[in-house]
Amino acid sequence: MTGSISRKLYRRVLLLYPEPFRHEFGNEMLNMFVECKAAQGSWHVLADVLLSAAKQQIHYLSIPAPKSAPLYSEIAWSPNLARILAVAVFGVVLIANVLAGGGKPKARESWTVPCARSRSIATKTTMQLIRFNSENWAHRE
Amino acid sequence: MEAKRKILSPLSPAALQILAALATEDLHGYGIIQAVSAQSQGRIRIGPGTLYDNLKRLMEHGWVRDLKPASENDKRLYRLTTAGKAALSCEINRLDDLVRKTKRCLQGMKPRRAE
Repeated sequence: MTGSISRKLYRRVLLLYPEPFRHEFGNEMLNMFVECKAAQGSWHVLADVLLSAAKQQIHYLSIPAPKSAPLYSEIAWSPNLARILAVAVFGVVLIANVLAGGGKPKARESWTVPCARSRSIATKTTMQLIRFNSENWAHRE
Repeated sequence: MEAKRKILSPLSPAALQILAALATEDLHGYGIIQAVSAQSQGRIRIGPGTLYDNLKRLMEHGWVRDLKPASENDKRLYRLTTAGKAALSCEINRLDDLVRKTKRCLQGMKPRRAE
């Protein structure tokens, strides 16, 4: 296997590690690849890393999630699969709605009736308030 | 600490080799791989995956700690802690006991009963 291919493959395999592990040791593991490959051979190194990534995934999956989450803990944790799916479905529905609507919003006929009704109610209330105020002022004087 | 040591004992060969390598001096990742290979006359070759798996576990137990590099170009060094030294000596004693008993058995002598 040529050097560049094995290095690319190694990078891909490193992505299989859980994020916290990668964050802590990823750079070191990447930097020592050339030396390890020269001493042990690329297949040995790749197999070792692949096995280790599987072990780490199992280890992280076996850790139970914290029961009482502290304030703002959501920010620190990566979103779970259900949440990602829910957001994806919501996004698809939103985009489909926008595309089906044609972009330009149309005035709905059904909205005009309640709008007119609420406008008349508002006008009546304002008139009543003005009348009430003027009566009050007249009564005071 | 004693209870934790008992739970982890016997150590895996890789963990034992890593602790033994770090017992002599502080080493960086590839330095540990080289030291393990040297102390086993090239018979044990640990890859980067096995190394960091074990280092992470040993760090979680407080047996090894990392020393932050002074500059960005420097490599991160790993050091055996006091608890790590105690755990290593406990494991070495266990292995030493096993070796002695096995030698006696092989030489046809009856092993002494533990009092």
